Amino acid sequence: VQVAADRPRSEFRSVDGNRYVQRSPQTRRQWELTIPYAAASANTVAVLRAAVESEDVWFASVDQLAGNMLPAGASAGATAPAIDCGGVPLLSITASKVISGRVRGGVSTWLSFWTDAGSGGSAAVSAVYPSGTRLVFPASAGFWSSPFTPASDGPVSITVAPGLPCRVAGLMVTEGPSAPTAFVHGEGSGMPCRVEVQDPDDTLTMRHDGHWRHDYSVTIREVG
Amino acid sequence: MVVWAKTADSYVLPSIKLSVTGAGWLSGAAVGSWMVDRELVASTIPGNIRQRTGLSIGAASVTVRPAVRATPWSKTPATRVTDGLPATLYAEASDGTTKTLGAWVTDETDGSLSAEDVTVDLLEASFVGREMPQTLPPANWNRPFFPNRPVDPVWPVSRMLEKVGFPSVPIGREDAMLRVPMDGAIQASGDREWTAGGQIVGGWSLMPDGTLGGSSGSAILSVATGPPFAPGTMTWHIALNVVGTVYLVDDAQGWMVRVVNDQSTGTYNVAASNNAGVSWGTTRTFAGRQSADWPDRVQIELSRTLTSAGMSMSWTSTSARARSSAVSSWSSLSTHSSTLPLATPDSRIWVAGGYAVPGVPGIPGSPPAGRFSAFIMDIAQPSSDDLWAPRRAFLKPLGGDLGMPMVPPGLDAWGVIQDCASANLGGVVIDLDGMARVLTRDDLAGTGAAGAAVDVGSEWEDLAWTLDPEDTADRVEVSFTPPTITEADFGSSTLAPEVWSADGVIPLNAGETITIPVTFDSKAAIGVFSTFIVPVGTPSALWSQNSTICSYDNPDGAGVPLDASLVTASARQTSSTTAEITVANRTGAMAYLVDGNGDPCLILRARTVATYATRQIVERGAAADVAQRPLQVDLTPWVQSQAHASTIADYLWDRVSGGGLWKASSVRCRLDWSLDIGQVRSLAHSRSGLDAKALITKVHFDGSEVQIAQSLDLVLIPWTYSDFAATWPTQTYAQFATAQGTRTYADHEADPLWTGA
Repeated sequence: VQVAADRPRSEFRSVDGNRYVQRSPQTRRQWELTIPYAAASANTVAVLRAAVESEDVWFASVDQLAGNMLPAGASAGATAPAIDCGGVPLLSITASKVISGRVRGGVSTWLSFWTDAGSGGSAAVSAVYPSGTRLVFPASAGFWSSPFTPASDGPVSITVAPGLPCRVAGLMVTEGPSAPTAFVHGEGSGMPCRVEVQDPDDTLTMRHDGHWRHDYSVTIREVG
Repeated sequence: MVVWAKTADSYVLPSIKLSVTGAGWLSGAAVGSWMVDRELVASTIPGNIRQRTGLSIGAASVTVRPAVRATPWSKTPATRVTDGLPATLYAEASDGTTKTLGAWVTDETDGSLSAEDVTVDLLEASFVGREMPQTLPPANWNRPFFPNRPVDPVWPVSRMLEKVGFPSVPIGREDAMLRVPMDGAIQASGDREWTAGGQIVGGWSLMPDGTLGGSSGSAILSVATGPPFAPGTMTWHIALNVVGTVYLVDDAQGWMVRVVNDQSTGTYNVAASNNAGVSWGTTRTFAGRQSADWPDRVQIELSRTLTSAGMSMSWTSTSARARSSAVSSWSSLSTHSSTLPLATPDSRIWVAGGYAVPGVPGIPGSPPAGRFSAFIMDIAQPSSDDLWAPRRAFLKPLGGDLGMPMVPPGLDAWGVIQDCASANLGGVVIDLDGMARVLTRDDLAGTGAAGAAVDVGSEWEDLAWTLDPEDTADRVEVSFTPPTITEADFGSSTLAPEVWSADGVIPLNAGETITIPVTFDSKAAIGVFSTFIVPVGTPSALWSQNSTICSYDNPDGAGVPLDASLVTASARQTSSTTAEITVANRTGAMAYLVDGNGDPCLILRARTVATYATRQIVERGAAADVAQRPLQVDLTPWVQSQAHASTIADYLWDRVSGGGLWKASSVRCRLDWSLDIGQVRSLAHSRSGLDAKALITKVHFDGSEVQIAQSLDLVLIPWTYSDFAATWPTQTYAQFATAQGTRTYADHEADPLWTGA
């Protein structure tokens, strides 16, 4: 599946030809999905329904949920030195920061990060999710991961409260049976995200056993 | 404070948001497209010399898509669209930092049923709803005793800035018993129990921190204490700006406080005396200069104990402590005990800086002189918001002297501010941080240090210039109206000058009391009005020295006038150009204010009156009958002396006579948040040989989700001597002469900054 990103930009050239670029603060993605008749399932029904209902529709890609659900740009800071996050060096977060995301209910989820020092019990990373709180005090340099299971779908708020020399980087929220081992998605996927499902195109493919079978193709656009 | 800076070459735009107080649907609403316009037009600035349009109101327009649909007919207050609400437009970067793009008030709002977008027009908050005619308090009111003490033209500007929410000193509590900027004017206090007059005995000047009214002499605050003192401990809270050593004295009640706030020696302390400075309590130190906004401000808590002994009462102790910010620690108490009999119930508080107050012992008459301003005194414990509120205005002397400042009838506060600044070739702008800043003619001429240089080639899209002959003149004619001061001389039979007289017969019902608001025509009264008398019997000097009232029981003036005790009148000065006359009819029948001929008879006279009647002209350049492009500027009443007018004329002539003043409009530039109106920047473009200074007269933003286009209007500023001096800062004339060896004057004129390099 190809994901098209849509971030408006503009360009301005000075009288001597210097180029200055301004970019919109937000990027919005778009997915073109094809659902062949053979893959028809409950998901097909959900997509068809989402196209006509006036309600919040959340979209998630399983690989990105397993990668990093936090929004892009939230996982690292801007302060050198970089911290080795499972092979990926990332600049560290040294000032308190609050990051908002969204998690799914009943799914085993992990809050993970790397640090370059112990915090002595003062510096911490915490997650507030539907019906619970997870708080991690890193005791030494390295990788830290802590599981939690939200009671329902809802927002998650990650608070990074580093205290020098305890710096933090490679912040991740992931779904999966076990903790991640590496920082996979360099910039986080911001999943699940709110989307608009456009009315699917519908191709009648065959009649089988007295049922009509359709292929669908649908465009899903991130909104908000 | 937000750091306003040039943006990166590849810049992720901040989210632009709008918050409107009192409109829940517009709380942090994301803005789609927006426009902000701020312009400096009110000044006689080079390149705009004929555009004396007065007021520039910053304007903005934003299109928002609110989270909930809002309409003017909504039943829910939170989603009902109304106008005139305070609004904040701000930019929020991805890291959460915000920049305020000005304070606004909502104006016209447009929406429709078919679109969710709503367009909100905004007006600069500080200008809105201030279209009330203003007056100035009488300045220089003690003129008979201390003549010729004119004020700087920034004085009326300061007064009006205060009225539109940009005080240069904290406003203090509404009901504070005293709040005196000490800038040379009579100051009436809000609370009826207390009245105060600020009498500046010494010269006044500008404090180093930009507040007006620092006096190097002393001031009397005549405080009439309402209820008699009762036994017990009384506490007053006082705050004022102090530089050096200042004494606070109540010469009737005997308390005295000495405050030292001296940065040059690092001395910060306070001491109290219960017996008028004959002896003192222990001097207590405090941490000085703890407030960033008000480095010179000191807050004093003064307590006195009054003890009853038999039939008499005595002050038995005075304590004082001080601190230098809203949050810093108080000094220890300086307490002094003695027995001092309670004098009269009235107090006269003197504030003195190294000045021998007549009749008050204990104050050294020798330097170091202290200076002070911005006095606030209250009984209740004021909150830090009252005494330490962040400053909103930074003043600078505009240069020149106003003998008798007055406001022409009908002019509103911003009219005064802009007219006065403009007449003095300066300007007043609200900067990006919301501070009112006075720009002097030197600032606008770029004689100060220019801001960061602009590399035009790499940062500006183009520089479309205009050379407009309208910006030059071959004759400058400056007109002004000096006040003619008439003073009553009670030693002779000289008339007390008349300030107002009734032009119609005023009838009064039986037992009626009326108050007549009067506005003087081209006059300003200073000091006290003469009391009203009825001119009966043998004519005497008193007739012409006092205000006149005459009344009969008929409108024709037949019979004998009513006795002075039956129809009474009194007058109260409400400003330099207005008064209220209260007339009471104490008879049981109608009374008419007429003289024996049936003519109206109610005349108000004052001891000192300034009349603005004679317009004078200062001219430069060609004679009036041959001038082809004359420039006429009327500076009335913001310039009042020949010398002041000549200075303005010289300055103006220097600007407009040379020619070659080009200007540029709508110059698109690389987004730089730090560019603001009133700034002077050096421009350079090596390819075209551009090397100039320019004044930014307009900043325009046009924003959408895709871009924030910033454009500027500019006027070129000729190089001045200060630029030349800066180019040759350490060199001698001989070096200069050598370096310039073969050049002629014409070369210099074309390129005055050529350094021979």
